[in-house]
Amino acid sequence: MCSRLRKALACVCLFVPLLSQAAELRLGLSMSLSGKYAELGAMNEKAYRLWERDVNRRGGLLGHAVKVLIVDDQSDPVRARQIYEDLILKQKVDFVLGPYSSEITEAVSNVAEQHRYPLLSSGGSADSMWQKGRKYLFGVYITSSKYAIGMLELFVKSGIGKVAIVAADDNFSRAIEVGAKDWAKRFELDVISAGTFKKGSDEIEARIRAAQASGAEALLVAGHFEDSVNARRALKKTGWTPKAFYATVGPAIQKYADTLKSDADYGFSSSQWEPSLPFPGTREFAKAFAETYGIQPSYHAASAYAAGQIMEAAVRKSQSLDREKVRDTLSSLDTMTVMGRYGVDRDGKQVRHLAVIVQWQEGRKEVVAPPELATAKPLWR
Amino acid sequence: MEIKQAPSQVTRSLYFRILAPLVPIVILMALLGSAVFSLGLSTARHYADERIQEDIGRDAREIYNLCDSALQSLLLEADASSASVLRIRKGRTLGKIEEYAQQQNLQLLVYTSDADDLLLNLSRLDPDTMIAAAHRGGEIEAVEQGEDTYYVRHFEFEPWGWNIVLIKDGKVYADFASNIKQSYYAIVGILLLVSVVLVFYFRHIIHKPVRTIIESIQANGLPEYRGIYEFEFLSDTIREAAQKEQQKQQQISYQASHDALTGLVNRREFERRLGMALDEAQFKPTIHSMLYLDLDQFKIVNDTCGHNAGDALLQQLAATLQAKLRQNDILARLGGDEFGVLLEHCPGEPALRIAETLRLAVASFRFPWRDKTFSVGVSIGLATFGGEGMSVGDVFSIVDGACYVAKDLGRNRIHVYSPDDTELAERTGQMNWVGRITQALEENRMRLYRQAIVALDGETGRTERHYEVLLRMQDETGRQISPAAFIPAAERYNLMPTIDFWVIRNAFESYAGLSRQSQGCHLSINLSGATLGDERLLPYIREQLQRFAVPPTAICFEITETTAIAKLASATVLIQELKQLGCRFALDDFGSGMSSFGYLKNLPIDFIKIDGAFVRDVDSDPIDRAMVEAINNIGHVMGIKTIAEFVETEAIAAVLRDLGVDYAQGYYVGRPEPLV
Repeated sequence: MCSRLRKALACVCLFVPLLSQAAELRLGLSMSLSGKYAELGAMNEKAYRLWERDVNRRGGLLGHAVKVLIVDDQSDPVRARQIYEDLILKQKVDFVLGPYSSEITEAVSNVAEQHRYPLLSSGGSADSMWQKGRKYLFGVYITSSKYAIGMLELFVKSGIGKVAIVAADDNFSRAIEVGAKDWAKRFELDVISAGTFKKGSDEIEARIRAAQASGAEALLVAGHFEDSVNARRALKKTGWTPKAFYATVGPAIQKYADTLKSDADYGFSSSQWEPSLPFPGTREFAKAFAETYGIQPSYHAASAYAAGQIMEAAVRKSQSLDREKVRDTLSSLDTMTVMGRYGVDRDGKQVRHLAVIVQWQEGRKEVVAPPELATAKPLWR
Repeated sequence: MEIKQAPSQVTRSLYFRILAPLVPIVILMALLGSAVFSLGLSTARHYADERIQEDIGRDAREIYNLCDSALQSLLLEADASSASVLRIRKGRTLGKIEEYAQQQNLQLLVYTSDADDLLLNLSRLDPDTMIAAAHRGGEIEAVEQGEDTYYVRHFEFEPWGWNIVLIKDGKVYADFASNIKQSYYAIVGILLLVSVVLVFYFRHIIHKPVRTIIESIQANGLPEYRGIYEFEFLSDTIREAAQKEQQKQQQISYQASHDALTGLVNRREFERRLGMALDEAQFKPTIHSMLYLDLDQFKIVNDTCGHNAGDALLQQLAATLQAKLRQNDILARLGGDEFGVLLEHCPGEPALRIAETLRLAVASFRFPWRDKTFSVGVSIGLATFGGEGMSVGDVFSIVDGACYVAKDLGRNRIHVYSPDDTELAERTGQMNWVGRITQALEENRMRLYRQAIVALDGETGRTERHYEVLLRMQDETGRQISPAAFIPAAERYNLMPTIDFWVIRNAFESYAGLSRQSQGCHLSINLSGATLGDERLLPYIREQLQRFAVPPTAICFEITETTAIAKLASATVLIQELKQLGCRFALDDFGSGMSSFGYLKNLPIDFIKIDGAFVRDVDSDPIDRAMVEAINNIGHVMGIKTIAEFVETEAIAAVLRDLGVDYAQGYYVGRPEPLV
């Protein structure tokens, strides 16, 4: 026992100076620490910090200590773009990681593309980002157009025949709307588009009234957290209780229930990740996150941590810090993270990942689809 | 300066030679490229057809397999009969077809039997057109849409009633053909660029150096180029050759204009310079002068010591003369022992001073040769000229004549020409002596005179008459010309043998009549040096003696001391031969030149004629007297009789008699008179 301890101590003694001697590997990113995405931005930041700690505990990357530089982009795409230019041109970081939201990722991906920095999109999923021939952008989430597939399947199974879709006026939301329509058609569902609404406005109420008027049995709202909360409140206000209410982003995170209390129940959403999923390291990550920060991680946190893991895997596989080599590795990498499986198509779009459908049931968020991963059966009104 | 290039010689130009091989190469390569391009297009078309058929066939199989796999797994599930499950499975299958199509960049339509019900539309084209094309009957149908061609294949997945139309963009072929076309244009462009670059390159490395060399030659007469080694070497070689040629030309020019012996300007160059001075005088009011120098007694050195000595004397004397002249004065050797001096912008008076300086320089010049020292004199003719319109020949004639006048007047002096110079006028009238002498001989205008040689002891004088035969020439008007005037010309132009032969023949002819007048008559006939060396002489004398029945003992031949010494061998032979006949010999002008008693031992002569220069003042000059006495004594010791020349007074005759000289000749004892 003493011998093992001495060996361990010797390893630590050897390892620590080596790690400190090698040049620090710096990864830079902007994050919405303030502004409209501050809530989810904070999740991302915490997850990146957690990964930074964990990777350095594992010996860093190729013997280099890892330093993650996070700058607040104030949820502003223009500001985020400037930050990435600064990180690349002035601070000359070794790699960059992704910001939160599709619109900001869209803005900074051009900078990364211009300077040939591989960028893992851990906070954006709009399909349009991978339809522009970019070579350095790689997805972590499934794309927006596929968000609602699981929900549509549940509609078919439950016998719902007519679905109304309301979407916010942003790329992410519109991509969800288009994707949902296409898939609904494939599942032979009757789809009604009830129009788009301006984010943060009260237009959503009118759209919901229109959906109700169309005779739809279920309502599908494409938007961000605030949009989902507003939609639920509009439903309550209008007095319409569809057989199923689905909204993207919002019902997937705890704050939705915290905000809406009992009104959150029955609300469906797609989740890129849940702590209960049986992927390698998922539970450990959730536990470590909760212990470190005192809150449960959302899928946004998991995707940020997963981005770190993917970058780590790519560098190790490349055995190089050369960005071109790492890019090539990312384009063909097939690896497991706390989020699940990572794998992209030739456009860099995520194709291996799996999203689940969650539903708030009596104040608890349950996985209701796919059946193999379900923690509860879906409840219908 | 432009390099001249005649149009007819374009094919010989450097540009043409550079372009000639390049143009066909470029054309050949363009044609070759065109052939490769056509072949490439054909290959591309064939390849594209095969590729499209293969691709579209594979895509059809893959999509069919997707559908088949989905159906098979559905059938194995427990709730396979559930309509909702079937709907979901169909939807998922469509999703997989979509993914596949995106991966393969494939356009695709999925519809049920009702064409209006499109389950999946992944085509940018009009679905109805594509569906109509797909149902034409062929396995693969081509559809033209604008400039693009699409290949359409249709198949059915019957279990679900799905019609699937695959649409492949023919742009693959077009892109390939476009790439080949662009490559061809690029190659042609590169070839043209390379050609242009090569032309400029060759221009830079060949034409430019050649042009530089030509221009530098045109500008400076010599090539000047620095750069490419070979052209630099060529430039240097041409330059070196040109410089050598220039030096050679300069040498030839120098040799053509200078005397090889003395290094002075030669006659031709002197005449050219004189011509220039005459031309200048035509336009400028100036006066030039020319001196004509003829050395006195140079012949003695040449004849007695050989030409080497004469040459050395001339070289030294030339240097001496040059040193006395001004920098711009031109001293030339005009031939033999004659020199010319051109004094530009120099009137008569200063010219005379210069002439006098030269005369004194020559007079004081001493030429040591082996154990002897020689001195020479110079006779100088001087003439001035300005814008009178005289030619070079005129000036030469005048100054040459003046020089001869100086000689006639006793040598070692200067004669200045003036238009009213009668002596010179006479001299100039006698310039063409060759013609005049020849004409005089032909017209029988030569006359023989005699001058008595009288014994001073008075005993022989009565019984034997001894005459020296003298030659006179009458001009066209019958006026008598002194031999001193024409003999030098005759000597110079090799007329002496002719004259001597004439004298011998006529003297012998006259002897018969003369002997009738005075019994025991003896004639002394002068033989020049040139005649002495004439191998015809001896037979001629024999013949003439025989012809005119002249007793050889009555004939005495006189040869000058210098002639005898210069041609000692031939003179000795001749003297011995003639003496065997009975003729006698006298050594003329003894003491005037290179008097050496040693020669007397080798010459079997009978008389010594003491030079008049010693005799003329023998009565008053003790040196002359001593000289005459010495000559006389030596002669007598050797058994040779002595004859004194220039005996002009009784006093001279008395002194000579006292000294024991045997004979006298001169005006005191007898003036010249016609021979017959």
